[in-house]
Amino acid sequence: MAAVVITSLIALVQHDMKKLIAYSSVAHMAIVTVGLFAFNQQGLEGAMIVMLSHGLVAGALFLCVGVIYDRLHTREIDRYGGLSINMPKYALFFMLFTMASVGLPGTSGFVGEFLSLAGIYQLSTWVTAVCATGVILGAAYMLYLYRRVAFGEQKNAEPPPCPTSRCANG
Amino acid sequence: MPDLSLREWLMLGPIAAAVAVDGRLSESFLAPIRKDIAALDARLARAAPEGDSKLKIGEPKPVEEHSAPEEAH
Repeated sequence: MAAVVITSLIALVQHDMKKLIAYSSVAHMAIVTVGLFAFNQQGLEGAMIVMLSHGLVAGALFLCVGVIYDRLHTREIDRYGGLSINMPKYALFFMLFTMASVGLPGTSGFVGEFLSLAGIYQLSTWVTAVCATGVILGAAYMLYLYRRVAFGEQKNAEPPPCPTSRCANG
Repeated sequence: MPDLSLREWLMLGPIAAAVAVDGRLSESFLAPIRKDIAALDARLARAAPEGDSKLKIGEPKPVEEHSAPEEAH
C-alpha cells in the first residue's frame, strides 16, 4: 500500500526518463499486489488486467524512450522539450501510452486500476484511499514527464552529431 | 530531429492498437479468465479478512407503472 505512494513520489522527482518509467512500474505492481490481496473477484480480475496492461504500456514507454535516445543519446528529461513540434507522430504515440499508464478511461490502464480499487474497497476504505492517492500521483508524474518532453520550448530542432564512429557510414 | 521511421511505426503501432482494444473491449480479455478467477476466489474465500466497508447491496426498487399522460399537448 505504501509502495504505491512512495514510489510515485520518487518517480515525481526523477530526471531520467527510464528511471521514471521504472518507478512507475513498481507503483503499478503495488496496485497489482493490493488487488490480489483483496481476495475477491474484482480485485483478482483487476490485478490480472493491470499486469496485462502494464506489460504492454511499460514496454511501449521504454520503446518511446529508446526512440528519442537513438536521436539524442541521452535520457535526461531536461535535454528534451517541444518534441511535438518536430516529432508530432512520436508525440501522439507517446501521449497514448502516457494516458494508458495514467489510467484514462478508454485505455487498458483504466479497467485494471478501477477493478483493483473496486476490489480493495470491499475490504478496506483506507487502503483504497491511499491507493487512489497513488493513482493521482501517477497522473502527476506521467503528465509532468509528457509536458517536459513534448511541450515547452523546442530544444533540439537538429540532432547532435553522432559521437561514435558507427554513424560515419550513415 | 526526424519523426518516426517505418521501423519505429511498425513497433509502436501494434502496441498502440492493443492498448486501445484492451481499453474499449476489455470484456474480451476478462471473459476467458473469469471462470478461473472465480475458482481461485472460491479457494481464497476462507482466508479473506473481514472488510471495513460493510457494503450491502440493497433490493432493487419495484418498477412503478407510469400511467399514460391524460392528454397530449
